[in-house]
Amino acid sequence: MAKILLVDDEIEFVEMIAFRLAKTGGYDVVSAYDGEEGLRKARSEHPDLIILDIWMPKKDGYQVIKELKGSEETARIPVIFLAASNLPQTLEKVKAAGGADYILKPFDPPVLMTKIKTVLEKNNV
Amino acid sequence: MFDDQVLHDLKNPLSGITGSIGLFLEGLLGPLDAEQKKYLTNIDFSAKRLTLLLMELSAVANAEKKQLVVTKVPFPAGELREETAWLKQLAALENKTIVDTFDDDLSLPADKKLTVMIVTDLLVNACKQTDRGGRVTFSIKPDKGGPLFEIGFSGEGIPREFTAKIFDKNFRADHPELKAKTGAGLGLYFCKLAVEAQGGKIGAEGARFHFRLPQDR
Repeated sequence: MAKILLVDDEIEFVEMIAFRLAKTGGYDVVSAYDGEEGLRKARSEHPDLIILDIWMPKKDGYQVIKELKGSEETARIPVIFLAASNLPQTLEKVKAAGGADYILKPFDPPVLMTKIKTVLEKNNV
Repeated sequence: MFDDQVLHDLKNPLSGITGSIGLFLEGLLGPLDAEQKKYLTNIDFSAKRLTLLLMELSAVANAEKKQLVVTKVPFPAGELREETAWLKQLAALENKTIVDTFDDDLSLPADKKLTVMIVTDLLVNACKQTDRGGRVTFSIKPDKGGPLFEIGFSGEGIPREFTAKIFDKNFRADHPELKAKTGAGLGLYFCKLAVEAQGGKIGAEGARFHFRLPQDR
């Protein structure tokens, strides 16, 4: 069973997505509610994939992925960004940061499920 | 217009609302009785309309800054039918009918997300223009210059003096009936910007909206 780390500061959003991932995808889901907690759990829980919000307290998504990519222990974990802005500069920044994919809020949850499946398969999970 | 931070702050709770309603309606939280399903569906419709409004605000803000992202990847028209299916249920609540006639396999050379939003907005608009018991038609005709989308509705249609202005920003008709039906003038303005950003043209005549999305050369 693949393990997914979900990092977002909107608690009700995290609970909803975590429930769906576990119920319809059968994933083992770990949640974190800010960038620092996300980094800590990325190191301790060894997830197969991270779903990462961009605008968060303590450390934003860009800082989190930079530290993930800078550590041998976490560099290979694929990241799907949750983006709320579809300005060209945001999308370019998301791509340049090294994310495997991104999804724009608000989104249809089944679209996220498809992206997760694709990224996990690409990473042989 | 709202800035990016405000839109972000609006999108986050809306994602929680739509996603949580989906858990109920998909039966992931157990079976629903008919009444529960009816009212949750109504909440879902309202949330979808709010989502459309928010996405339109965001797209208009970006288009006015010349920063609207357009990703043209051809997709089958059948996907458009699926994405707008909820509007048939919404129309039925008011005893109105939406009839779509097009080939599901017809390839549309367009940005799917923007095109779904344009068609959704025009169908919502057409339903507003139609009296209870009325009918809205939606067709896509293949053509050398690119597919022609037509959304027609029963009723008197848009008075001729307003058809040239109805897609203008903040258009508010000096006409009580039309004013009530066209709202704050955001949706049709969005449609114009989103069609033009894809190289197309949009118009209205009588009881019909139409737009064409050209093939890239």
